[in-house]
Amino acid sequence: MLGLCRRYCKSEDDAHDALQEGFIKVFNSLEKYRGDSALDTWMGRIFINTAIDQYKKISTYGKMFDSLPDNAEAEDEVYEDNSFPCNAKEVLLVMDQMPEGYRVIFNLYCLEGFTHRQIAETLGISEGTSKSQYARAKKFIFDALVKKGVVRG
Amino acid sequence: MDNRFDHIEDSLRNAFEGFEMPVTDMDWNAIEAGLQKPERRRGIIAWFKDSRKRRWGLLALLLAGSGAAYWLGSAQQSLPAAGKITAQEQPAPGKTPENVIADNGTGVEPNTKESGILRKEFSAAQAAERNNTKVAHNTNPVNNIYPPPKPAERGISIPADPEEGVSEGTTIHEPKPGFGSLKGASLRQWPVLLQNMMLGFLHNWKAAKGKNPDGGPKSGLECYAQAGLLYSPGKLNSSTPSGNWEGTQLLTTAIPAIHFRAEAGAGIQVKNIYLYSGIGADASAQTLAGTEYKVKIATRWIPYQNMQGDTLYHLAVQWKDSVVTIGNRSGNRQTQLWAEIPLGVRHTIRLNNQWDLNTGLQATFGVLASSNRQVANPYLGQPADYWQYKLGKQADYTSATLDASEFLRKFRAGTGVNLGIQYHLPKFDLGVQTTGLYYISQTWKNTPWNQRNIMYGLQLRAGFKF
Repeated sequence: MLGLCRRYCKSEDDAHDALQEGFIKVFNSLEKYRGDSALDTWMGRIFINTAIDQYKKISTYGKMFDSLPDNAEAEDEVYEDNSFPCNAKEVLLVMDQMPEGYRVIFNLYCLEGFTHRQIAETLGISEGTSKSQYARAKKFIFDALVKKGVVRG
Repeated sequence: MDNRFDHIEDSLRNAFEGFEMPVTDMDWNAIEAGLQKPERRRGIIAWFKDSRKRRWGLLALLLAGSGAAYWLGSAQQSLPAAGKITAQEQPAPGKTPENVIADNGTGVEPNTKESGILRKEFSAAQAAERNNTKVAHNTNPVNNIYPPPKPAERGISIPADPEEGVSEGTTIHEPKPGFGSLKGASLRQWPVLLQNMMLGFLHNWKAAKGKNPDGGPKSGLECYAQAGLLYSPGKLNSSTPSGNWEGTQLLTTAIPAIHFRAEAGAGIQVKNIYLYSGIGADASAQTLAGTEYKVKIATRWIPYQNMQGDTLYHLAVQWKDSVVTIGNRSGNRQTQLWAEIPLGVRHTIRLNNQWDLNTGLQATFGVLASSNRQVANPYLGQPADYWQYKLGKQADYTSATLDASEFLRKFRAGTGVNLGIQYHLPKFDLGVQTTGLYYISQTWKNTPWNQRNIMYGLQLRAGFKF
């Protein structure tokens, strides 16, 4: 779970804080667990919510996501089909440089498998914003990995 | 393209497949401490969230209110007079009650709407005069709450308070208009005496409304609005955490700030004194632009339990993540917006027909409404473009002294002085005033009030009279 928290947080310290807070929530909410999903899925959702709550505590939360209308087209780019090997630490280093809005949406969409509709509901933003931020996040990571020589541009 | 993972996404997902980091003992200790911590209560708000407690609370408030009302009512009926007037202050023979009112210094004209209430009080006195008895007149509506004074003869002592049985020569005791004496009052008398004071203030205000025998501003209701720029000379370092904020950073630069302050409200002018309250806003922006040199010490809050079992937090310094930053702040200067509730008093000296000199004192209470940087965690306040150098590699925890938890919202309280001049126009006044304010505030929410902040500047002010 610390790995999950680290993906959302900008530093290891923040990840440890989110982990601690998340576990306290888990223990305090165990009686609410109905067994509808696997325990680790349920816990994972609590940790994700805890990490997102940390963002919401920031007074600039509202400015984290550039707002776009719902019907805005995502800036989807086509990348060459060149799958590449990379490790989590390399990607984390890139993610640390990302704007927070990109980071949250990238995590939720790409790594957690949320839909843009679910992301929009979770973060209180429009679906168009989620799509556009995700497209930019993906480009950001791709460009950074190209610079590092992990991926061919 | 929802949920349609392309090859980049697949690669990234594969990178994080099975990715985990080791959880430390400190994490488990913190979790354990957090689980043992009693649930935080938010005072009366949390208490009233419980519907059952809310019902009982409202019932208790209702009962207390009814009891207080009954107590006040019964006290008014039974309490004797507290002030006194001398026999010489009684109306001269042949003077009508109306003349007495006109001469009583309140400035209320006879036969006017305002004096109607006063005239009614003389019905008992007129009856007494018709019976050739001398009556100590009560010319103040405040005294309606007391029983009519007994007829008295000159030179015969009448006790001031039947319970005390005090006799003072030829004086006849009667409630004094305005502020009754609270000295020696019994607990039972206090509510009525306080009420007497308030009614006395209102009486004085009503009598003086639209006038000012001292030649100053006319008494009445007044709304005001003021706005101006203030300067806060911040000097930030760990030992003198003044200026804007951030008690745990060691900064090699001072970050002064400019404040735009606006305020509006209403008050009551009684002769030369103006009492007011309102709402205000203080928007501040750091003035520092250009290159910034900063030493940032990374900190963590370490929970521990004291002998009583309470969970407290030590601020620990972690060299591993500490940084030296050289950056440009112009693109990311901190701004803050505070919401304020001011309460003040102002004294006016009339210089001539057009100009007044005002001096004022103000108390104000504020809450941080927003900030463009995270108040709870100073790490995130990075300049726009920065270069940083990390110190050390090994964790090195050094205990510091603050006991606190880290949360966003924080409060501040301040006092201030004003000195200004204003120019009269028919319906409103325009003025300019110098303002100095001194604040104490929390570093973060739930932390001690250990920050100090001074600001001073000029404000323009407009007052609208009714």
